[in-house]
Amino acid sequence: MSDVAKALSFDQVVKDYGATRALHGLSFDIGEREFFTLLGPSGCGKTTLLRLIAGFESLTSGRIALQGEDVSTLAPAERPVNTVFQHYALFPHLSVHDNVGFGLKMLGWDDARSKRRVDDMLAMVKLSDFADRRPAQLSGGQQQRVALARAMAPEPRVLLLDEPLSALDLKLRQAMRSELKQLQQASGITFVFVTHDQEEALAMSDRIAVMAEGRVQQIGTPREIYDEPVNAFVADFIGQSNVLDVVRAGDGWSLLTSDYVLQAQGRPTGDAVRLSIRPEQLSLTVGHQTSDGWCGQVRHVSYLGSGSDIAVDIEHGPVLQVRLPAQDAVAVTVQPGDPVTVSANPGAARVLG
Amino acid sequence: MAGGVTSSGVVGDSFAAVRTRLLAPSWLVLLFFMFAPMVVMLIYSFLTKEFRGGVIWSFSLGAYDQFFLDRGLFGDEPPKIEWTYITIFLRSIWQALAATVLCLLIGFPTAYFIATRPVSQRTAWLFLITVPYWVNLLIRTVSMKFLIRDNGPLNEALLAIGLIDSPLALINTDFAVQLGLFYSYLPFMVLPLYASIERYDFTLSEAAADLYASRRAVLFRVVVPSVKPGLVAGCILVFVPSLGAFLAPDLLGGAKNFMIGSLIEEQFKGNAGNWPFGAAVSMILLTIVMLVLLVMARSRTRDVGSAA
Ligand SMILES: Nc1ncnc2c1ncn2[C@@H]1O[C@H](COP(=O)(O)OP(=O)(O)OP(=O)(O)O)[C@@H](O)[C@H]1O
Ligand SMILES: [Mg+2]
Repeated sequence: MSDVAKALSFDQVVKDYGATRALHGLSFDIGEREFFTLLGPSGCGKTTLLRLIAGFESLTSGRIALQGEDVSTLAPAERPVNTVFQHYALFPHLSVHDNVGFGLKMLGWDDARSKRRVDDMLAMVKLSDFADRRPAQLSGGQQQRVALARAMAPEPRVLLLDEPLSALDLKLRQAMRSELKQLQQASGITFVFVTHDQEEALAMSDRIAVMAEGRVQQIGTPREIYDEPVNAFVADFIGQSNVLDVVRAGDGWSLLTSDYVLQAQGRPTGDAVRLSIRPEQLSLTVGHQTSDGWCGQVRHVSYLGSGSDIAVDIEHGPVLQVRLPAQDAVAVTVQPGDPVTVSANPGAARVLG
Repeated sequence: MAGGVTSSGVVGDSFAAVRTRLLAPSWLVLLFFMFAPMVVMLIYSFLTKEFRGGVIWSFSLGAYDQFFLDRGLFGDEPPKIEWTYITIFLRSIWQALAATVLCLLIGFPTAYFIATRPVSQRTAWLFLITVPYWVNLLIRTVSMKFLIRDNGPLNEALLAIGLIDSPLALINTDFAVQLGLFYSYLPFMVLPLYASIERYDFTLSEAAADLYASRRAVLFRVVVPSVKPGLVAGCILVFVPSLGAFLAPDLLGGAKNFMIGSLIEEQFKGNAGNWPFGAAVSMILLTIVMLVLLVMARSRTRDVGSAA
């Protein structure tokens, strides 16, 4: 990525809260016009990183550059970056119109220009009819859109969104996903989006940074992250994954306790590695055939509507999660306790780093 | 258990009846401690004065006449406007307003400071604010008098470090009264403001800063409007008692710096008193206070009404 195309770059970013280190030296870049997602479990430091970009917290060490310019020591008001807060933080005493126009007023835009911009923004989020209402008179979804319009009105270089959809119900959340993505593409603003919902991240992002315990685990496109997880954490956090400890056996890999040999993608280092296999890439046959797969007993079956999740206790081995399509003949008939054989589809297993 | 409910008799009563019964004690308290004394005041203000205190039960507008009109030394000249008492009122209103502004200027940062301490420390800070008020107001005002008098510790200290050559004349000035009022009523500003600021969502300040607001703009455009209920309550709680205060003006202000409170007090004390006049002054004061509260309440309902 060339220097011009970088919206944000992080250089050895460290943040301590007292004795606890929230971020352990992050270094990566976010491109112009990118929809970039920070994804990770609760407490991994997503909000902390966002607050560092916005300027609400100061860096312990390291550097943050915005379009090549060091902003590490600037106050929030001096950074051309705006935030959509998790609980919106709309000003309760101001109308929707004045909320959206707040940043413009502070920037000293003249009234006519500011009014045009606010009207455009409200039209963009389809709230033109609500301009005179107070935030308390709006539904959660409407408040969310006001927050978005307010943050986008001053034409920031980067928009920061901290779990903006988490307070909405499922249906609205899904509708807002595509709406957000369209707004981002139409406006050409770089979005840094925080979520702990992997489905949301996969659906919306150009690239995702998967974080855990204050460190970036992997950065890549949704497909890369899903298909080529670099470690067990990413494999398990994005979708679901079975992680197996295997040893070299002939031209493939096998569990120590089983004769079943399978091929794996990736670059193994040494003779003992960990493999990751997605539940939907495993198949199930009734009965035990030791050479065709791992033998075990069904532990439990959960019906999900679109399919079934089946947990299988492998003899002298781990519990494997298998996902079968709803109409699969085995999925319809298996019961807990049934003997089954689990096999991996070709190309399903990946070597983890 | 259906039987239990019916036998208790609750089901038979309407909600309104239950409410009336539950509110009865409050109504009685209000009636006895607020409404009745006010009616007594109102009636007394229209009675004839008895020398050596007390009243004669015959209707008279004399008290109000004395307040507003000047009929000369012997009461036989054509009436002019009497400025003596109006001046006292204006001075009192001015003093009370100044005390309110002073309390606000000092009280707001104090309340803000306490509300932004870690939760575990806040109670201790609030406790410190209230500690002086465990001592009787009279004692505290007298102490203040000793502190600021010509040969009191304050002047002595300033003389000792050579900042002044002769003692500052602090006692018996408007300044001294102001100091007394400020000191007496500061917590009434701090406590309601604290309650409001404590409930304030500080991410609003972050949102404003994020939207390019300066620190000043954050304070005046976001924080102050958000804590307005506490601010209005604090101002009322300081203004109203300051207006009727008599300890501070009496002890610190001396004879020149008379305020309404002292004027009223004087009418009911000893033999020089004039009960109907004291009652009339109280009624006029009450009217002013009611007007102020009404205006404040109007501004409150307007805010709440448009936000709801
Ligand atoms: N103000 C603070 N003081 C002390 N520790 C903090 C503070 N804010 C965050 N932390 C700690 O820093 C770590 C990262 O917190 P952060 O809020 O960034 O997590 P997050 O990834 O946003 O989690 P979530 O998904 O729950 O919002 C956590 O361990 C948290 O306890
Ligand atoms: Mg967070």
